Amino acid sequence: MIEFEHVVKDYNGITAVDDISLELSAGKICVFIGPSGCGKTTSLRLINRMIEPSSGTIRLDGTPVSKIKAEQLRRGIGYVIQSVGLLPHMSVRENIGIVPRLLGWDRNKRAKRADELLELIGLAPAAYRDKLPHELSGGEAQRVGVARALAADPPVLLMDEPFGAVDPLGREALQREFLSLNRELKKTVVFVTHDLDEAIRLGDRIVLMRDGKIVQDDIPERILGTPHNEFVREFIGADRALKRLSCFTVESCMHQAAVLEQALLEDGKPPADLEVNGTGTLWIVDAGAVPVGMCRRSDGKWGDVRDVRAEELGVKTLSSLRDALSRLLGRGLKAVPVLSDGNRLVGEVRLTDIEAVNQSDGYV
Amino acid sequence: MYSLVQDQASARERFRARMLMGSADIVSPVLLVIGIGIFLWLAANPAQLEALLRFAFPGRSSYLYERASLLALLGEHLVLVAVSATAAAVFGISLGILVTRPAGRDFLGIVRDLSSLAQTFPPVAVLALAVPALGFGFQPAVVALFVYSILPVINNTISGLVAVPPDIVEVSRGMGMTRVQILFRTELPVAARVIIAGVRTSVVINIGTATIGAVVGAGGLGAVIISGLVRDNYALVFTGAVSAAVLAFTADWCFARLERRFYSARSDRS
Repeated sequence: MIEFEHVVKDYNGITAVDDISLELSAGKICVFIGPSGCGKTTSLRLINRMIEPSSGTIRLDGTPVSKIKAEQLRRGIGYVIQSVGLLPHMSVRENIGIVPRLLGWDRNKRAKRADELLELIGLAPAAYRDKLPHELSGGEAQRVGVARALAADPPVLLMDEPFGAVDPLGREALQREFLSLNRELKKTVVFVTHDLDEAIRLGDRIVLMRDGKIVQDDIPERILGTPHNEFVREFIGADRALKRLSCFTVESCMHQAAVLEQALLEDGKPPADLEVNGTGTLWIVDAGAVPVGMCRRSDGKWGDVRDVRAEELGVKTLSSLRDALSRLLGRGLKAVPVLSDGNRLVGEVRLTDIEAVNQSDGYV
Repeated sequence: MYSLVQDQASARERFRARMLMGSADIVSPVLLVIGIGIFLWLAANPAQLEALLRFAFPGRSSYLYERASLLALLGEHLVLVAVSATAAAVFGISLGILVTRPAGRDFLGIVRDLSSLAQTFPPVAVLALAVPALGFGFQPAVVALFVYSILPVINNTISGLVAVPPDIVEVSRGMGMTRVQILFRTELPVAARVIIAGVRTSVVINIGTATIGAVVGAGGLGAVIISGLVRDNYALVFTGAVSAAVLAFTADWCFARLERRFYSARSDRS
C-alpha cells in the first residue's frame, strides 16, 4: 500500500504538487491523469524518491520512503518510462538483468529470470534474449521495458506514460496484455497517462489532477458519469458521452423488433397492409430466427428487401452501446438487430434509444 | 557550441576516414602483418636496408644513421609516445568525466577552451618552454607531447558523455544505480566509442609530433630525420619519416579495431 500524507512539492515558488493525501491500495492499478503540468509525473516520481517532497510524507507499506536509502528503495520498485530507456549497449537479457545484478544475483539466476520474463511477455527467449535494443520494434522494446521493471519481482510498479510512444494499434495490444498480466501478478501499479481512454481501460481507480491538486479521485464509471465540476467535465471531453456509452450494455435498453419470417414474403415483399411501429424497420428472419434481410416502410409503402448478414450487422446482448452506435452510424441505419448466441434475433437497438440514454444523465 | 564542435569533429572524422581510415576497412590484418614484418625485418637488417635505400637514393655518401640502430630508435619513440599518450588519455578522460558531473559542470566551458588553447601552441614552443624547467632529454618531450595530445581526448570524452541520452541516465537512476554505477555501467559504455576515437586521434597526432622530441635530445625516430635534414641526406629523412608513418598507421589500425567492439549510437539509429 502507498500513502501520500499532505505531500507538497515546490519548485522555486511553483507548486507542482499541492498538499496531496491519498491511499493507494495494494494489487490495484491506480491511474494519475490530467493536463500536462498538473503534477501527475511529479507525484509518481516522489514515490521512488527520484524527487524529494518539500513537505509531507509518503509511506510504502507503512514505512516512510524517506527512511529507506534511495537506491535500495528504487531497486524494490519497478520503473517504466515513456521512452523505455533500454540501455543501448546491453542485450535484452542484460537489460532485464540490471536490477537483479544490482541486487547481487549470480549470472545463471539472472539468465533464467530473463528467459522466464520474456516468456511471460510473449517474446520467444531464444529469439530475443541476445538482441540489442535497436533491433526491437517499438512495441517489443516497451514489453522488454515492462519485463525489466518486473525482473526482481517488486510489489510496486511505477509507469510513466509507458505506452505513450507506441502507435495506437500497438498501444491497445500492450494495454490488453498488461491488464491480463497484472490480473495474474497483482502488482500495485501507479500509472501516469494523459490519455483518458487508456485510463478508463486500465484503471481500477482514476485520480484526476490539476495544478498540483486532486480534482476527482474515483472509479472510472463515476468519473464519467458524475463529474465533480466543470473542469472534470471538460477534461473528459466533448466525447464524454461517447465514452460513457461504453458503460452500458445493449441488453439494458433494447426494444422488441418487428419480425417477419422469410416464408411469408409475397413476391419478395412484405404484405402491403403490414404496419410496424418504431423506426419502420422490419427484420426478415429464417426458420431459425436468424436475420437474413431487412425492409423499411416509408410513406405507407414497403421498400425493397435488402439482404443482411447477421454476424456483420448485429450486436450481441452484452455489447456496449458504443459498439451499437458505431454500427448504426457505419451502416446509416435507424436500428440494428440484437442477437443472442447462435445469431438468433432477440431485439433491436435504435438510434433513439441511445439518444435517450445519453440524455438520461442530464449533462448533454 | 557543442554541436558546432561536434560537427567539426565529425567533419574531420569523415575527412580522415576518406584519406586514411577507409584503409582500416580495406587493409586486412594479413596485409598489415606482412607490411609490419617487412618493415621490422629491414629495421633489423641494416645491410638490406642500405641496399634498398641505395637503390632509391643513388649517389649518397651514407645511408644509415650511425649513432643508434633503427630498432632502438623505434623503441625510444614508442616509450615516448606510450608515456605521454597514456598520461594524456588518463588525465583527459578523468577531466572530461569531472566536468560532466553536476558538481563540475561550471568548469566545462573553461576546460574545453583551455584544451583548445593548448592545441594552438606549436609543440616546438612547448618544448622550448619546458627545457629551462626540465632540462634536455626525455622529460620536456613527454611534457610537450602530453600537453599537445590532451585536446582530442578531452573533447571526445565530453562530447561522448554529454551525448548520452538523458532518459537512459534517468532510468538507470530509477532502477537503483548509484552515481558511480551509472557512470561505469551506463554513461561510459555508451560513450566509449567516441572516447576511444579521441584517444585514437590523440595517439596518431602524438606519434607524428614525437619526432620533434629529437630537437631536445629525447631520441626516437626524429633523430634520424633531423640528422638527415642537417646533412641534406634525404635517405635518412625518408627512413625516419616512413618509420614514424608505419608506427602511426599501425596504432590507428589497432584503435579502429578496438573502437568497433563498442556500442555505436550511429548503428542504433539505422
